[in-house]
Amino acid sequence: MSPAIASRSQAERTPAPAILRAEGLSKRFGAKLAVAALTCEVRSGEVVGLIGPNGAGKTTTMRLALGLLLPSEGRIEVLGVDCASDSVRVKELIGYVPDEPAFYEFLSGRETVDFACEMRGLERQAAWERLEPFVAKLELAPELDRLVSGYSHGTKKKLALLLALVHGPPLLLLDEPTNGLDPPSANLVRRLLSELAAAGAGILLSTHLLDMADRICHRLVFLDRGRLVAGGTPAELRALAGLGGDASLEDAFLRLVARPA
Amino acid sequence: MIHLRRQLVAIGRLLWRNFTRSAIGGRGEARVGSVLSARLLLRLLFLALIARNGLDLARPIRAIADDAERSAALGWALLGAIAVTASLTVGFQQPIGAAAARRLRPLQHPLLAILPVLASTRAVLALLSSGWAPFLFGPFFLGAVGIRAAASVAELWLLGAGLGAAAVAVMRRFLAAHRLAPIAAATGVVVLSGVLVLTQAAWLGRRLGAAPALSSWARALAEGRAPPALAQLAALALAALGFAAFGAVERHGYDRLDVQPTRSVRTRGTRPLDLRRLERRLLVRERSALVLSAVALLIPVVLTAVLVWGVAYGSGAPERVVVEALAVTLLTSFASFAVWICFGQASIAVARDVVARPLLSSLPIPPSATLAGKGALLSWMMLPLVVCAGVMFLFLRVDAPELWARWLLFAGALWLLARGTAAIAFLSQGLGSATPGAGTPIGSLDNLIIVVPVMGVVLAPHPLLALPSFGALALVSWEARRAALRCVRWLDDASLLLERSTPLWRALLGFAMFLSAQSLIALLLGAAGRPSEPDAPAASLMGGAYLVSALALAAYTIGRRGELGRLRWRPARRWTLALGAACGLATGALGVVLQPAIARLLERLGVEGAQVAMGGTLGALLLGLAVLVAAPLAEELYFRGWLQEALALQLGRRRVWAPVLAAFAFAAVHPGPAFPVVWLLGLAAGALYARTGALGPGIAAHAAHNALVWWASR
Repeated sequence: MSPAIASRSQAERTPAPAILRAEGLSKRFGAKLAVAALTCEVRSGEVVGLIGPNGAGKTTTMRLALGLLLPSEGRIEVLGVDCASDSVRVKELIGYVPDEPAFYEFLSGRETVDFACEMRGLERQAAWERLEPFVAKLELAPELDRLVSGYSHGTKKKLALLLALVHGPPLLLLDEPTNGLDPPSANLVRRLLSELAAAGAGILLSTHLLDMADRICHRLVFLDRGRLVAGGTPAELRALAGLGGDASLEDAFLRLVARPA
Repeated sequence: MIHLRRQLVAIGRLLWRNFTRSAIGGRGEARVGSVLSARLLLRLLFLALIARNGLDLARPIRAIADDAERSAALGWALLGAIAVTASLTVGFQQPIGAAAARRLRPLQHPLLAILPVLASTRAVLALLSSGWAPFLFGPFFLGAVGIRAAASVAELWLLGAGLGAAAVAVMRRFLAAHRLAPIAAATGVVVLSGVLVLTQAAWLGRRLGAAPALSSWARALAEGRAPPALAQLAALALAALGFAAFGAVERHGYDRLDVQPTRSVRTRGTRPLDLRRLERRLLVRERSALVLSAVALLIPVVLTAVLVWGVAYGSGAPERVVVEALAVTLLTSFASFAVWICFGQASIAVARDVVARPLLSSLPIPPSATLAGKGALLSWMMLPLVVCAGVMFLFLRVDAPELWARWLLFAGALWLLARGTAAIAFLSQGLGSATPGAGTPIGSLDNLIIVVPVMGVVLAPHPLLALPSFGALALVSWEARRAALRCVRWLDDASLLLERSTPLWRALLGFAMFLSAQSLIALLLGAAGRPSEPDAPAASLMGGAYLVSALALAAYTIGRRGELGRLRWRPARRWTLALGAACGLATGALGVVLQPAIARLLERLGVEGAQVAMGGTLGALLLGLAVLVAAPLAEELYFRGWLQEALALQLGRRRVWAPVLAAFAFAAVHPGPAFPVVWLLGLAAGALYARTGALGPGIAAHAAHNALVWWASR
């Protein structure tokens, strides 16, 4: 039995405490409703996937969780901290990997991590000791002393992941974490995420790769135009769509998020 | 636990690294640890120039004898300084141009949005956003009222930045992002008006009396007292409120910045959307860019209107001398506007291409078409400036042919500037180059190469003397285009090792470094000691500045020539050294003989010769060293050993022209009247270098020439 499956069954047996909780969360941009009355939660040791077509509100939900956006209605909190009212405290609890990571082009990878340590008030030595296994796993060591301006897209994504792990946060928000990675690197990241969840972190990731979501997510949230369409374990979602256990998740998604042509 | 102190130290180090490292050139050169670069020098020069301007502006105020008038003038200066600081604070916070530009500004970088930055840290960031304002009005107030003003200056800086921060907070809270962009661009007007009030404070104080606000503060400063405690307290409280509001709003500051409204647009006309029309349409759609250029173009139009009105309804046509001075001043200020517009727009246009790279790289667009679209747009934007200048000349009843010749040169220079700037933007701000952000787009070494000849054209004492600068401008513009055509390839190929510029362009960068080093050192020396005669530059100052920067040029040349092969000093045939010296003596003699004729010619053209105040033995010694030793060594090293070599490499089979072009550049940077003789000297030195492959004969020629001219002039 692989570690991922072990932790999945464990998560199902005893409901762990919720790390992220959204209740009736809405966000309006002018006339456009980006997130509509979303209610969901991420528990400790659990990988939750936000699945949806482009413009479904996945990134907006993550930005609401970080306190970068203010909700129009409803509430979102991390470990009891309201994201809208205390964004500084919330950012201490979250490691965030944006879809398009941005760094200071004239800092090296190592200096970027050092900078994040200072901004988070961490001991640099201890932080690097904690990061060492991740650096090894992500094969980042030869890149760390080069300026970020020379990094490839995939290396930038890996550095963003490393940066999200600097403070050992209880919650990870990952926006398309394997986007732009080659298959071996994507595989590395998937394994890393499963291990982090097994160690007790809550992970919310957005993706449109349903195959990957099926493999590492314990629960999935299907979004469409800001609304929650369906939520549950992959098996529950297949059942909800009226499909058998060996059907692909993609079919379930297409049935549940059926749009009028 | 997060500590404010640690965050501030980290941000301070970040800013320092940005200041030094983002000055590193293209991707290939980027290395951790290279701190001192030519571009850094230029940035320091920019700040030093601003500080120097501040000191200069203080002089007329200190000269006012009447106490009441002086305090009134100070009041206006305070008002101007606060307006500048507040509007700069707003301007640097706003999303001007593409979102890509935000990544170049360290304090608005998206990485800071996802880190737990404390509200108090954000308030300090707002304070730091007032940019170069303290460098201008700090020296100004120190010059105007002395060191006792220091505490007051700090308080006013806080007040100005606090007001700006409050304005940002209010706008972010109540306005959508797409409405912020025009406001940000409009802050440029407030900055310019603030600078205008600051520069004209003495006049305003005399004409209009005390400024409505801040008069008690100004009176206290003028009389050497501390400002009223209540006013100080109120200023600090206002500032604190502003920063607090900013810190509170900024926590969610990106709420509105990321949202652009979905506008539906109607496409008019059926003409195909080629690259030229595309540039125009994008400019119109991107409001901030549009407002920026509209503001920049509006100012000359308003100036023209005011002047025309003044002439029409004032006391008749002004005197001829006044007209001439006015015409030259107008062309100079219009040229500055042109530079501002070109650099701003070109960098926005290239940032746009960086963002749209995936689209552009998939289309069969030749690099020349990419460049032509931007060059054409910028040339069109130059047209109002040229027309405005022409209208002014007509209304001023300019009848002197040389002034109209100046106008023609001005129009040509602006056209070359527009074409060249589009190319330079690709060279200096293309993909992967971590160029500025921490200042103005004008503060880049690449841009300096083209600004110097443009200003040379408009500031020349006579249109004939402007021709060498015009030629140099044409050459620079042509080479910028050639280098950019290679570099625009990054749209297709983002590989790390892409060569970003030509050897010739790098050689020109070396020269820009030399110029900036020379001015920076002269500024620093000038601030340390006072020249004995205010009108003539002191010999010790010029000599010292030249010596140090010549050393820098020599070191830079030896370090950066790179691929051009080894430098040889001694020629294989020794007699060529003597031949060189003989050539130098011949051109020197020609110069000495022609000197009276040239002086007469200049007199007839109405140009006065420049005078240098010798000021004692030290000055003579330093100037002698510079003229007899440093100039031959450094200039031969650069013009023959680097520029001519780079030209020859580039011209290939037509390499016989390399000495001619290098000699032209060599002569163009020497003072106008000496131009023809120096060109001859350059030709001789260049030919000797081309034949012998060694620098020795050229140095001998140069030293002999300088020695003879120096001896004759004493």
